[in-house]
Amino acid sequence: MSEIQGGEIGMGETLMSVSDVEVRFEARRRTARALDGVSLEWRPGEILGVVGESGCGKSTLARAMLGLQPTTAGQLSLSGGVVSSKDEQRALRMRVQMIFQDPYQSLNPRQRVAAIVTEPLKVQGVPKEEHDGRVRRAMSDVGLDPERYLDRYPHQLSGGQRQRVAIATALVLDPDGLICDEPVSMLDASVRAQILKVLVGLQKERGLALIFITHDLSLAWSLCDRIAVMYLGRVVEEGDAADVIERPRHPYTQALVTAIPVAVPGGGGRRELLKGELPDPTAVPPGCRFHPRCPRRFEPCDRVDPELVETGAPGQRAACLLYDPTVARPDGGG
Amino acid sequence: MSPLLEIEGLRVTHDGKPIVDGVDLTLEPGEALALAGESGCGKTTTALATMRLLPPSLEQSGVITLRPEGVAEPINIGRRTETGMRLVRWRHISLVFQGAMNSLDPVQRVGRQLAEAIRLHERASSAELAARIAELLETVGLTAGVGDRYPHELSGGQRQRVMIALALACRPSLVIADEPTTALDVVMQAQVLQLLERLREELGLALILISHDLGVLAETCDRIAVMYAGRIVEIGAVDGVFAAPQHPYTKLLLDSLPVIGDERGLAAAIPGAPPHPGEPPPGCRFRPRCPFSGDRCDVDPDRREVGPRHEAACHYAPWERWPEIEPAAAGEGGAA
Repeated sequence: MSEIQGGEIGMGETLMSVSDVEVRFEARRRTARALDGVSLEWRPGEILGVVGESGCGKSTLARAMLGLQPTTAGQLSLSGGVVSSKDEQRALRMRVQMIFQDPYQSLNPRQRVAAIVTEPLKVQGVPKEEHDGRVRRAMSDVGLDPERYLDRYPHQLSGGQRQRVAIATALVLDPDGLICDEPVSMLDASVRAQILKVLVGLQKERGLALIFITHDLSLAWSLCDRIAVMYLGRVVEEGDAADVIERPRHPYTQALVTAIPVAVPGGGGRRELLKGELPDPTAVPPGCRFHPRCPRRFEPCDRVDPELVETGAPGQRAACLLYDPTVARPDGGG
Repeated sequence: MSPLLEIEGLRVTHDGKPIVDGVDLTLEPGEALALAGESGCGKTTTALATMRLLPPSLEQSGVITLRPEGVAEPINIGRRTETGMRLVRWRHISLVFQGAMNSLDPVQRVGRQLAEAIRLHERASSAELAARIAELLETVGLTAGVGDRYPHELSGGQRQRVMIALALACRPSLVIADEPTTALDVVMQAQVLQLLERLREELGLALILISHDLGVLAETCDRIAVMYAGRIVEIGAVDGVFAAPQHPYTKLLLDSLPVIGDERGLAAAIPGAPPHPGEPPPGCRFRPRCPFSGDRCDVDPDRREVGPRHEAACHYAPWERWPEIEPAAAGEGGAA
């Protein structure tokens, strides 16, 4: 995984970039490779989708990006500058915020909304006279009337309102980026659409960059600019959202897309499903990590670990030997 | 052919306030019915009432009749004693509920838990039991070796398969599955749904599938019932309802889903939030959120036939064409 050099991909700016990041967990004398060399670029104002099955490392990646998860290798950069010192990490956490899946667990039940939303300002040492104005603005930005909601406790709010408070808490520091870990997967259809509207509105009006970490491929397809597909601790495909989902190149992405339930009667039809389950990250298969489940594997797949390579569509890259020009394909085609 | 299950005027109340407020539905043998709607609309309560598994604080009324094949007299579920219900549950109707995979006994091997379920309703020698367990595990796509394992040694998908095997242990004619795939990912979800479909074909099983995911329901079921605030507001063949919904709520739910291949972008939101079924607004329950409402909506609409085997509770159904609505009208305010 060495072919990604700093300035090579797109000469444009990046909000954050992740290069060759590794996270290892020690479990019962075995090592789980939760992130196994992940590289990713997140551009200013961009909505980036990170998709994959549970256990693929997408939430670990989010935590690692905020410095909440110690990494064993690789580096993070913010606007081109490497993040390493404590001060740089602190700056990172001012500019990039995160919200979680469960709005029931992420708010302190004993604090009123006003105190919850003010907390980050206190932690980051923002002058006190600015607090009230910033809190009210953040509340209005997520569509909650400050007069009505600042005095309430979390249990007096619906699930959708709690998620709005969580977003307001993230917004109060006026960040450039917001990482959303399954932000709507616990919400019902109508609430879900309202929360997404708030998030996309923030991206449009404030230029807030978003990362959607989700297992919902239709959602990622509909809202993201780009998508990165993760499998067993690594990005296996990335590119323009419409390209990746409508014309997936990696056999794993193709399998994921096939498995999406379609809200059109008979739309799914009989289909070939991926067999088996995500392997244990303490026993990553040799060669291509997907080869034991891959319907299109061929001779070198069990010994050559593929790197992300161009697949033909601009910016769409896949870590699959089918697209590696140096490997002879069995059928001579793609 | 008489229906396998008939629910007439089911009401469930808590302190006199309804949670389910007059549900009628029928299910043919071998049929798969989808129960859709947002949280709190009464889907799970309807399922539990059908099994008579509601907590004592809830009261249920209405008539539920079950006619399993090979049983001479129809079973009147509402009037059975608790002891009588024990002979019905798992034997004739069984339930796979949400997060069920976490409800396996953690200190007993999977095979032993299956054996217990079988022994509840029939006598079997240990050789017969072993054969049945192996067969059950095979039916749900697991190897016989899984019987010797403990639940923690299995993945989420495998545990959900074990739960389905438990539900099938006494060869019921109806399985109610409440959000059986919600905790699983796409690939695992598709595998479990394919399994349910195969079981229906092979065992002639009838299925009530509860999910908030319309995609899951569309792929697995023959008919769909959409619930809103304690009632069924639309019911019909999946093809008909998805192609031409006749209740505004169904229409808006379908519009809120991204469909790959259509136009990308933010889907339309349904404004506001559903009312508590015990405190419905006057007139039509959906009126405060309905962009298509008119004068007739002052009166609470009855569910009536609006097409072949297609019923909806909307005065204006059947809708020839849906009026254009301003997308900006949706999703305002902090009501969510």
